[in-house]
Amino acid sequence: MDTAKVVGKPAFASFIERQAEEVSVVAPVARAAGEFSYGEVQDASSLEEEEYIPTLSSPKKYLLPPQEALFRFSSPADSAVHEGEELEYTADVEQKRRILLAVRPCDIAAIHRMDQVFSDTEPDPHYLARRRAAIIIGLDCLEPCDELAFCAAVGTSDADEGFDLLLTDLGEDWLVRVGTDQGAELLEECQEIRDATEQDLQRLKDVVQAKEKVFRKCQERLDFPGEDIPEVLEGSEDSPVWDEYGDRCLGCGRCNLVCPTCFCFDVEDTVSLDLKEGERTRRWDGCTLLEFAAVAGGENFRRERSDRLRHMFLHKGKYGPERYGDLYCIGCGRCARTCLAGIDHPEVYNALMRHRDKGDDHG
Amino acid sequence: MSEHLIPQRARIAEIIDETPDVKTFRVEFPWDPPFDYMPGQCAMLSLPAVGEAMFSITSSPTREPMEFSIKKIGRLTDVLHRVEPGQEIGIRGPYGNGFPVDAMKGSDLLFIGGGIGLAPLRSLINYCFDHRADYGHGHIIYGARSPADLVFKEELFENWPEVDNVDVDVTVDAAEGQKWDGPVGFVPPFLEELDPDPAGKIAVTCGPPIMIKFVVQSLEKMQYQPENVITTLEKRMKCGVGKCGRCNVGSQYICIDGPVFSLAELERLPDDY
Repeated sequence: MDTAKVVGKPAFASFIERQAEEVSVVAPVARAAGEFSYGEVQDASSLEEEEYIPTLSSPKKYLLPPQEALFRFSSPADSAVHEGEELEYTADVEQKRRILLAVRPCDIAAIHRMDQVFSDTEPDPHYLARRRAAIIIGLDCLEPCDELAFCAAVGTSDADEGFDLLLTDLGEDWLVRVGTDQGAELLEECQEIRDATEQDLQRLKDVVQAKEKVFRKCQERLDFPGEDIPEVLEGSEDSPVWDEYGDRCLGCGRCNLVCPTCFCFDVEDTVSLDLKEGERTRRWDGCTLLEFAAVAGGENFRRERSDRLRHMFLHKGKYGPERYGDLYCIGCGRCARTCLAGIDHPEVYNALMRHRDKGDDHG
Repeated sequence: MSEHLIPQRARIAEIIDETPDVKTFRVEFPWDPPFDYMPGQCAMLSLPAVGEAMFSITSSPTREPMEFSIKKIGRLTDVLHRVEPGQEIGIRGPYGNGFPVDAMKGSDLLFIGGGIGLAPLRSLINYCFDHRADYGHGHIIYGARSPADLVFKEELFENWPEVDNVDVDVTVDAAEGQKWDGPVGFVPPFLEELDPDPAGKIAVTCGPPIMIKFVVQSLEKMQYQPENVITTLEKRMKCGVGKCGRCNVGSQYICIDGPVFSLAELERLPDDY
């Protein structure tokens, strides 16, 4: 196992406060009643939230902002390029040091998947610069956040990797697991910290063991093991389940918006008012939106809501695993929490499983 | 390849009117040298402030200059159709897998194109004709909505029929009011009527999705094996490097794993293309 340290909560809180003076620290912050979102913080109070449910959207926004300039250009082509005037392309890559604090195991798993996507083939300099400048201080969940989460069913209720530091609540103290050299280095600035003793590790073991029982209901939200999701989706293309849920789906894209592993984006040029310069901008896109699979000339390869909903499920549960090796649904339940039609992923998976068993799916 | 998705600077040297809504753009590279490419590969073309889109490269790498035949069909293509020679553009590529030109060596080739779908095929056709000894009999079957909508007329009616061991058959959906003494009818029945023998042959088809669908059905009827039928898929693409998700079909990205697929490969994908 990675090395482990123990620190009193007040000492860790002052450590975070000192960090916040130097770098950006972001953590879940209570907004409206019962809602949290990630925002800049100056202290560690986010670690003490008792009524926590997952933030509306995930910390993904600090690695892949909802909108960002890929590069800037001078002299837009509309005015052609005049003699002696050179069109220039310039890109700035943001490298602001940032601590992502109190990142839950599901979101740690999501960041790992985003890393896979943006490191693949042609690595994405913007994402990777932000990722390299980010320090992830995770916070282990000791109980499921609500009845919509199903992290335990897809294996993301515990984090074994993907964090720089991971905090586990031991009452008066934090047990701090060190995941990377970067995490170890950061911890050198933390005072009153000591190595974990055998006794501390036993306490951690007890806490982790207790999780198993507490998360049983969360795990049972799926009628079958999470690793079988790709298999359940295999050949489900023509299942009537998609029509049923497609009828309910509004095609509004809220699920895409809050999903911590949705990475699709649109690209658009914007120009300054004097038309002298502009930016090629990317912004989050959503596969459940009508225009997503439309091509020039009017053809739309996923015109029906059921087609688009199916694509989203298959992308999370089958295409992602096929391409990158991991399930791209991390069970956080954000999509169901935000869905106006009450579409809940485990419910859909279970329905697909039942239809498959009944043999009325000939996909 | 381009970092940050920044295009390379290039210039439109010449514009050729093919049909009322298709123009061929010859591209020159006065700044950095052009990239290498193979038939069937694509490039992202852009006009700063207007936008960027993926186009198949219409020229063969065996011939210069690099060309793109583009139909006026959307926002960017609409502006492209209004620019003059000398216009600077952004270009990045090459993207995609391209046609399996090595695996096709030694085979007879059947090219079936519809409308602007002849653009990517033209790259392959000229490539194969420039390596004439590597390939067997060549048969080009092409159709467009009307005689005026036929692209690459000079090649269709003058150059290609002159190439050794090559047949060219051209049809139009309708010829009303236009001078035309050739066959009239849609491509799929025209293909079935010509009935080219599948033995030792690889069929490559590009065109509107609806034409491809029926051409594939015809080819299956004519006993072409799925491994020997090749086509290209079309999707809107925003990045070209397997990130933006727009061209995702199954676990494949058209921009990296495509746009060229055999029918056998397509049968393993969900049917949303």
